[in-house]
Amino acid sequence: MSQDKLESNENIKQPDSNYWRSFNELYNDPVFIENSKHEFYNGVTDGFSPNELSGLSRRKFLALLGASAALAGAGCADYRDKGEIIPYNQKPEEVTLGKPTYYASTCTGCSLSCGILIKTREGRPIKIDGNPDHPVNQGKICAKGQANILNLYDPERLSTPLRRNNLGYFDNISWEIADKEILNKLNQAGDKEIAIITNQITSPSGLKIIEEFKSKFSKVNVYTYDLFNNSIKDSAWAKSYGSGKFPLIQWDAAKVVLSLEGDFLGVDGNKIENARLFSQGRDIDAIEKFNRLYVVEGNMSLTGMNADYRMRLRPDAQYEFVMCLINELSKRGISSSIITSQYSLQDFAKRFSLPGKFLNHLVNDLIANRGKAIVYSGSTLPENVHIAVNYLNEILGNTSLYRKDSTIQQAMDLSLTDYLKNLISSLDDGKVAAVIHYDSNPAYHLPSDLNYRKALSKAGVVITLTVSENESSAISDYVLPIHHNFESWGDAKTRSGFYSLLQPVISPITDTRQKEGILLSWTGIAGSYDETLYHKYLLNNWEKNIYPGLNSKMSFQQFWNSALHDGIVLVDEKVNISTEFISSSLNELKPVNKYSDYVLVLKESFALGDGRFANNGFMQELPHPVSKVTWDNYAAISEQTSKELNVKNNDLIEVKSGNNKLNIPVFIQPGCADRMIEIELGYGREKAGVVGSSVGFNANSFIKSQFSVSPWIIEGVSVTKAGGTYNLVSTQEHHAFDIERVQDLHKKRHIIQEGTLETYKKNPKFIQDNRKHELESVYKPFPYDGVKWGMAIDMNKCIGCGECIVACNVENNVPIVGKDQVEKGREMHWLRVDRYYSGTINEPSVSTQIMLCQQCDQAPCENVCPVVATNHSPDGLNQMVYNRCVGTRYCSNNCPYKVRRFNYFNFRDHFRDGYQEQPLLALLNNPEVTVRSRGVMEKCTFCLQRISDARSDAIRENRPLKGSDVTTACQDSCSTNAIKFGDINDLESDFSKFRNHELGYYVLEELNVKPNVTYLARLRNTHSEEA
Amino acid sequence: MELQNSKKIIDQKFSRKKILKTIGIGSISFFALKIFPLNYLLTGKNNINSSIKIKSNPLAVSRNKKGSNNVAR
Repeated sequence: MSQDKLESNENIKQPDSNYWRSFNELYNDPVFIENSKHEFYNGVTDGFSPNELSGLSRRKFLALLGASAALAGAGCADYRDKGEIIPYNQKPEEVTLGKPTYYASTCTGCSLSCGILIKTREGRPIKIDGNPDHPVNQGKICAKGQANILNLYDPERLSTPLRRNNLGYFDNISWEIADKEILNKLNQAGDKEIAIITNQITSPSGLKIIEEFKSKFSKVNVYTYDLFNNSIKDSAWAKSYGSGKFPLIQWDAAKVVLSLEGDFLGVDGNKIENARLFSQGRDIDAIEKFNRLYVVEGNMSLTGMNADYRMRLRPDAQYEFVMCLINELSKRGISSSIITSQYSLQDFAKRFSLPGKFLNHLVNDLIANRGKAIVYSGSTLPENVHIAVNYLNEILGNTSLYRKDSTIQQAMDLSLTDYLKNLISSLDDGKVAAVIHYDSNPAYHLPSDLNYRKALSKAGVVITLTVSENESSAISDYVLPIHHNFESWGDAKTRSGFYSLLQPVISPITDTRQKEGILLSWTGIAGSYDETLYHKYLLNNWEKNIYPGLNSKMSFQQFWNSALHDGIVLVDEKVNISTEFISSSLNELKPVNKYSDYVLVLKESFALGDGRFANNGFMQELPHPVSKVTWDNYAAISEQTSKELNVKNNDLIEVKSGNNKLNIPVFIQPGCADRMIEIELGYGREKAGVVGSSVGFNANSFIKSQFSVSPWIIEGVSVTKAGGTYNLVSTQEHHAFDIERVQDLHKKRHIIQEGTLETYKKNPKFIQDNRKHELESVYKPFPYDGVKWGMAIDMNKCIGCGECIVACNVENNVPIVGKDQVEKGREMHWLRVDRYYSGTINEPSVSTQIMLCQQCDQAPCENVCPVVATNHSPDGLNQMVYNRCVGTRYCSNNCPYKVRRFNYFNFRDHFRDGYQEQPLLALLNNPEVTVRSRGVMEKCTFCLQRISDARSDAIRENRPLKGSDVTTACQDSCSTNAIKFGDINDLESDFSKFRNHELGYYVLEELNVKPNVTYLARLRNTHSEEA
Repeated sequence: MELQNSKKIIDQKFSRKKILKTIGIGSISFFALKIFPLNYLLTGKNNINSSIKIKSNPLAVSRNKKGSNNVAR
């Protein structure tokens, strides 16, 4: 192929700047237009008919009113008896009443083991944030980590050991009986196997205990698995470079990133670290270092939403795409590979109708940025793709972007599939005396073709150690409740260069035990179980085996206390990454076979992970970052595929692969490749508690141990319309404006303002040129002399992940409302991430925007409140006085941003029959924030409780309050630091730089409400001819 | 005539018996709600003073401040 441009394959209109959120909006669906004219959705006021009012006379009404008022007054005497408050007799030294205490620990929500800082009040954990001292996540934690606090206070946590009786039900038993009976059975194992099945082991001390257990009983085998893992990628790396695991990437140093089905900003790898590093290349104050992101993927992902250039391609074609790229590079003299001579990028582009312009730019950029670019392949892709990508990076010299200072470490490698198959055959042969599910759920996770549940019935005894009931505990003989993460001691090593420590911030709430302590007590080497058993073992292990190697000058006790204080222990470790590419690995690259008709892709859920957060209401209610669907998963398909199948949104389709089939509702996703179905896993659980059971659809049965492409990409599926519908609830059409649908609607209203990097370089003030408004006001401006709070949101860094939403929910006691209420537009999130599409349906450009209360200086909500329940503070905040509010909802009606939330119910009573009223769950509430009841309006307060706290600190310390003294919950949680908060009046501050930036604009500025949230326009790093 | 009509209306609308009956029932209800078991039924559900005990772990090491600012500048 010549160096001339590839033929353009576009047969599509050029993208225009019309923004749309859903197909209904794009096609001017009459139902959508009608709904947008109304404040509330259809069905909300159903059942109300003035003609059917009772014929009660006025006199009788007043009589009843008087009587009920008298009774209500009588009832107030015992209102909300919260019990007695008793002050400390001997106050612990570290506790100051009314001030939080922080503890460093480690999150075990997944195997990444990020460092966390747990905020406690009077001994009660209330908020999780990242540990600023942790080298990997550096003060940030993902949405699941934020929501993990709810798992601690889950009312359905197991509280006592259980034993299955003859009728198949579970009886409560004591720990003594459980220990005695289980130990008896383990001792009788003889030469039969005792199998321990666990998720990825990250704890060195935990691994040591398993080794002790192995030495006590004659035949113990340990099987480790993770539903989503890097095993294929690591295996490809070992073949390409001889040894080791796939290295970490310097995302901050990459000028060009090509991501192939790799959602590195979403679920692939350490999302927090990846997002932080990647966003350092989107700094508007260092535009010469701006990176460019190309994404080639099957379905729109979080990473795809943030791409400068995105192309849809089904994942089973990625291998051929990479080979074509290598061939194209060799034609341009970059390499002399003959392995790819039969591949042609031009032919490939024709077959798959790929945009020629995109491919031209991509190839040119990869060549121009050799050594400064990275090609990244997602973990779900097959091995041949990873080997080809390793080779591609090798020939481009991109291996310099692999990190040499740190590498991933695992205490124990994941078990190979063959090893798991050995377990199944041993079970089938009756050679397994005991199976211990060690805080794992293999009955839900393991590949369906292994028939694990059936084989398990032949085990001598099945013991599950778990925090809450799950599918594995439901088929066990003994279920032993274990401590939650925040009640546990432990350590973790996931990277070279440091250890991470876990410490319990709360004594066990119920009668649970530490899982390592349980195993240790069964070995008998440290005596019977007590609360200090594992703690002593951990201390002993560190003192004998780890501390001597650190050459610390402190005594061990001092060292241990400071290690717990910091949460991490840094160690000197040399990292060896092999850099010699093994050419023989290219022998694995075979010609591609014909593609099947439909391909099914199984993806990790952004909200639920592998399903372990299914019972967490915060995560179920978090809108999906792309589709904005809550409380369900779905089959994402393209519009073209939906036409072929003759289905529309919510219609059920049957997806069939071999003997497995699933009926699942459809969601038509812009940007999805044709003939591809993507389903997120982690849903459809049967035993996940009241919140999580029967939510969504279980697609785990499609995972097989034998696969042609990869465990998560299944070819040869058949897809047919199943008939029937299922209601998917999405928030993407909520809060749409009641205005005529015209082209360039959102551009005309300047809600989203974007540009390209080239435009910004030519005219840095191009955003300010749009801001010439004639703004007149009847009000005299109020002189804000002291601190005036404001926020700036950098849309270049915001990736639209929604972590801020979960952080805000936890901080501000935002209730969970459930699917039926979200359907009526009553979700209570104070913060939302609006997602707009522009361009074409097949290759849309995505824009996101965080929307929260703008704290307007001339707030239209304040003027219309009949009881002055909402007013303005001298420091610029729009305040809500909950106990004045009578619920007219006029303020919400008047709010142009639609950021006010009304409590139609006491959601703590309403959701799942008072689920949120349970005593344990009440402990989750932040005591610094009012818990709102029915009939009051609420909205973002700019974390007023944190402002008040900082103000009282400043007064006590006799110093002025500074803007930098306060960070909001959303700001703390944002892994890319997109949210800035501070004092508008402090012109010397860092915040002021963003507030007054030339890219700054206000949403709906022409209304002259004077919002105090500045948005920094997003710059797309496209080529100059497209600027 | 008007006075007679008014008296009739008043007699119809205001029944002394009814007023006293309403006040009586109201008073009895007022005091009944204060005594067992009705007071328990009404307040028991909202009584969060349950058997859950919170105790911090004395061996954990805390910090008073977050450390370096969570939000990078």
